[in-house]
Amino acid sequence: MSGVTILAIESSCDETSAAVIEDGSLLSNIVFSQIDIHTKYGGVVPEIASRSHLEKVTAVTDEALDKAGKTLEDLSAVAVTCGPGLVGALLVGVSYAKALSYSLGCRLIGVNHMRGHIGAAFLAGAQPPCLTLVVSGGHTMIVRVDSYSDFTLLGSTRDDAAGEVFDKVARVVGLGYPGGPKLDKAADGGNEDYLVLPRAMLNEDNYDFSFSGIKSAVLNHINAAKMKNEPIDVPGVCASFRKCVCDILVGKTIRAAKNEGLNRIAVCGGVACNSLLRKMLIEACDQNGYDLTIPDASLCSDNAGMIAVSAYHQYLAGDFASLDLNASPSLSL
Amino acid sequence: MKILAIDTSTIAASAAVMDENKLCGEFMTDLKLKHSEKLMFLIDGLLDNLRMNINDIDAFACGRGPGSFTGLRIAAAAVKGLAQPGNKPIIGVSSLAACAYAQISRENEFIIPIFDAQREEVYTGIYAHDRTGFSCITPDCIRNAEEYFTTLEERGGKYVFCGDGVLKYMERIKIQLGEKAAFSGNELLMPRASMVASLALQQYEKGQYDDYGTFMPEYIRGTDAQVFIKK
Repeated sequence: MSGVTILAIESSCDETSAAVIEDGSLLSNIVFSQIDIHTKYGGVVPEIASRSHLEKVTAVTDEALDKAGKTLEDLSAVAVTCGPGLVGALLVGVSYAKALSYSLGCRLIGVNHMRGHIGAAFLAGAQPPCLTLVVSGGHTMIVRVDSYSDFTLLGSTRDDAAGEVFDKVARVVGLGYPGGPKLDKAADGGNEDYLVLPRAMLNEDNYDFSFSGIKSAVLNHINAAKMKNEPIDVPGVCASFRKCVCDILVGKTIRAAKNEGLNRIAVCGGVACNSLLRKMLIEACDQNGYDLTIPDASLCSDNAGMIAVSAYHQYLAGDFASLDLNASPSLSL
Repeated sequence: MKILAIDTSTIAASAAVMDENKLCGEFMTDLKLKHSEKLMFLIDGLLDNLRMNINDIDAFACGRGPGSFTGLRIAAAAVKGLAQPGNKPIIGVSSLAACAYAQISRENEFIIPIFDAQREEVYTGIYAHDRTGFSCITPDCIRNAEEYFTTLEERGGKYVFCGDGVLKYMERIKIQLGEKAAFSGNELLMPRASMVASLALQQYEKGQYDDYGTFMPEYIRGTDAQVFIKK
């Protein structure tokens, strides 16, 4: 099928984004990040995020169309992230996309945000069948991908997401928000053996994760040090913590690939930007002879480009939404 | 000029089409929320009944608040999406004014729309209608309910109350204001898209409208996080 042009909208958390894809090629991907708005609150404030999405959604749409050299009238469909995410934030995109598609008389496509992250891996060249580690501020999951639409969840976190514990530990050691990138930088040069942390669930016979115990171990160490007025080795704490989380993520991913008989691995989601995770995965895949795909950083954090890729495959499969499409904050894969 | 108006500022949702001064049709539901699922069907069903198409609409009107933050955004995001193709005007109308406008037959009484803002607060304004027309006496604001009713008593005059706040505060208003207070009938209690459309037409003639980029809800209340930081 050719001549399929789709506008995709993403507003599930703190990025307002619009992208245009034509016949599977991404023509534009405009992201307005709200990080500066939320920094002074130490994290994403849902009501502020929702207000900001409404202020930016038409502007990112116009810019995405302009950059793609398209007009609204060229669109075959409007796609939108319908979950999972913050309900108020999702509703802005969903309400807008529904009205826009209605006004244009074109198709509407509701996209699962987590499937969108996997879409980013397709865009970066990953081909099914492959094993995918989706790791972000809201989710940590290992997914078997058999085709562009056939995904099987093999395991996920039982408590905190990996990105979430990065943010929390960063906040406690005083690095501020967003914690993931700052912790990654602070960990460089730190002693990875400074803290002995539990590799939770690493050797259990499943693909689930648990990060809250590791987080507590770090917090306990810091609190104890504060009580005794001892200095805290911030690079050491960050390095030990980062190494622990990456050991678990990489260990479980490689084991899943082996057990599932897959020799292609893709990593996506915001934590895929973590420098140690990238390095360790590259080494592990080299050792095992696996192909590894990690999208560019701009496609790992939330963006509408990845939603557009998923939407394109849904379009080809005839998977459309109706006007009662609603936001689904806890939509599963 | 055909105007499509919508309002989802309270638990009621409505859509109306006006052609110049004629109300062509209006759909209204007062269910427990679900605005996100229902709103487009409300619009589509209305247009379909009127044998109209969305392309027949020249301008959009929207109850801009105050009211439920989420409700305001659902309507605002929808109206932006509807207006963007063809860059049609969006006329934002106070949802309190729209609620008050249903009471304009009540002369010699101040019209007091009150929307429940939770935490013992109400969104409100003071409106009136006389030979010169419908006017806003006190702009939309948020007030502690108890203090507000006391202020109204001290202010003097007779009042007619409307809005979903009536459901919550009627007894307290009766105690405070006694004979000075009257209440809207249930059928006109909630803000209606037809009233939004009527006021929108007047505002449009005065050049008071936005486009899909500039139109925003009027929340009145800041977010808790913003209030916390200020403290």
